[in-house]
Amino acid sequence: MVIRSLELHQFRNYRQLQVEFGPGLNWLHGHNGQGKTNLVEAIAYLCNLESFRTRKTQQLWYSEANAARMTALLEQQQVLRRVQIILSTRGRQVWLDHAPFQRTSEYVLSFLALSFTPEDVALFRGPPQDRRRFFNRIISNLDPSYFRHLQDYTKILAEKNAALRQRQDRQLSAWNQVLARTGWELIQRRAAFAEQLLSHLVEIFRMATGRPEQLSLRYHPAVQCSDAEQLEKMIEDQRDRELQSGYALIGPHRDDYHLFLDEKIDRDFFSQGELRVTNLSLKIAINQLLFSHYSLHPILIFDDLFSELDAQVSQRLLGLFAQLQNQIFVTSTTRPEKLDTKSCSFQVVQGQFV
Amino acid sequence: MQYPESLDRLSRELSRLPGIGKKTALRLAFGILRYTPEEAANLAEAIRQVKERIHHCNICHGFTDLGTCSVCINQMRNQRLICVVEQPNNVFQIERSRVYQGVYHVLLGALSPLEGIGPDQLQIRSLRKRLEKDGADELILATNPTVQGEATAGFLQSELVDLVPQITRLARGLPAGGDLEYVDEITLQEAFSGRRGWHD
Ligand SMILES: [Zn+2]
Repeated sequence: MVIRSLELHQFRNYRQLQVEFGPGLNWLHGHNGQGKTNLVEAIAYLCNLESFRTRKTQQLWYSEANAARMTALLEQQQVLRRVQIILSTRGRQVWLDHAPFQRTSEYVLSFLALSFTPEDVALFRGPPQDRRRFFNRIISNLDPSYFRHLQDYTKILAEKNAALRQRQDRQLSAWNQVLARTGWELIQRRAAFAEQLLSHLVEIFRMATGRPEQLSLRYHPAVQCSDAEQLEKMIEDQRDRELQSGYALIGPHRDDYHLFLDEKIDRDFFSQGELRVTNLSLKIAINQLLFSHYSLHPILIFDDLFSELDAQVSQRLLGLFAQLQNQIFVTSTTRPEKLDTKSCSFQVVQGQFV
Repeated sequence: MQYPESLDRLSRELSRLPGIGKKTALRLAFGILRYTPEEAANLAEAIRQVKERIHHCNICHGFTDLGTCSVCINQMRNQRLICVVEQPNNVFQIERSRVYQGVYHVLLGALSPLEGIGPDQLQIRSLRKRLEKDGADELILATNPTVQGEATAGFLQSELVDLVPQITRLARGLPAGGDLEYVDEITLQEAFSGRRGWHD
């Protein structure tokens, strides 16, 4: 997927902007506070329908306005699509090819941006629901049936929790059975994803850092089981405790993921620099997986890429970017030294491109 | 200009019907306005009659205008084969296919603790009584392929397993006449895993 052109109206510090991008690397440079991150935030929003910085929509429009508008021309497998998003106090309106579009989940499964920002290092330090949310999104893109199972699982979990709250223990087993069956579908796909990602992760991390350790993403299921029946039995074994607490205590809604450098776990033992470079490797590895299995090219966003990365790693990454077939947006305080002919550079000054 | 009160009321009443939005309701209301008084009275009478005459069959709980429905009363049908469905309209859907020669039991819903529906809110006790009194050779669970329908099928399976020699679940599969292109991945996966031998 490629964003051909973008128009912003009253978005963050952009009063009005019309810009055309190149199909490869797009380098946005300028001093801090000029609007580089705001621009890539708009691009990520256009693809994912959420900001990577805030859940508060009113922060997204220009300070004196009360609405913002983003319009883009996207190219997807040689088809041009026009996307318009209007954010206002009345909420969000999405227009696709000149018609209102309401199916958010379908939208975000067809357009995908992978963003890497300085805040990302919090992903593996924050609560597990952040990681489940992130990987749910990625696995859904890899496997649409995962998304359907996830939706079913969420519904079943809500029904089961209602049954627990109302102490409806006569029907509890029926819900445990469907929960286990659907949960097992999720567990298998999550494990397969971590497995598939492994070789890409090892390769990208070594290429970027030259370090000898093996970087891995490990899936930590909340329940160790080998099939749906066993999962169901383990859930049944918790029946009394669950009735007491009033909500479902075990199942894949409690799963987690962690990064490891050899046997060193992210949460406690990674340095800030390691968190940053491993997160970066993760995003690029996901991109490689999306490409190798499904020929998908998500948009890649690297905000403030070179802060806290040493010069050698930065150089290696730029070499890697040149080999990727994705459209890439990089923001940096520095001008690029040299760019190949496929790449573009833009200077951002006070909400304007110069 | 505002719509006159009685017209507004009619369109709001119509918009409560399933699948009828505000715009369609208004169009229908204007359609009714074009009726002669006699035609309008006919429509009102049809609505009154349907509520007065249609009720649930005293055996299967499907819709009927008699005490016992034409399926339950029909001795040509296999009274020892019972198909369990969620809603009365499911009976008509299966009847239209003409493949089924047994009888029905309508639960009048599916388990949903979120909506306050437990086993006692469904016609499960009457199904149990039916099986205890008359017996059956097979129970076909044809609840909807939703999470609520699946849970209900699982519930019935474990509750009734001792009362009937065979309990089956309706196969999930490809919609007939449907192009594979328009079938979602889950249905396709199920169609593959539930595939049968050529001569089955
Ligand atoms: Zn009947």
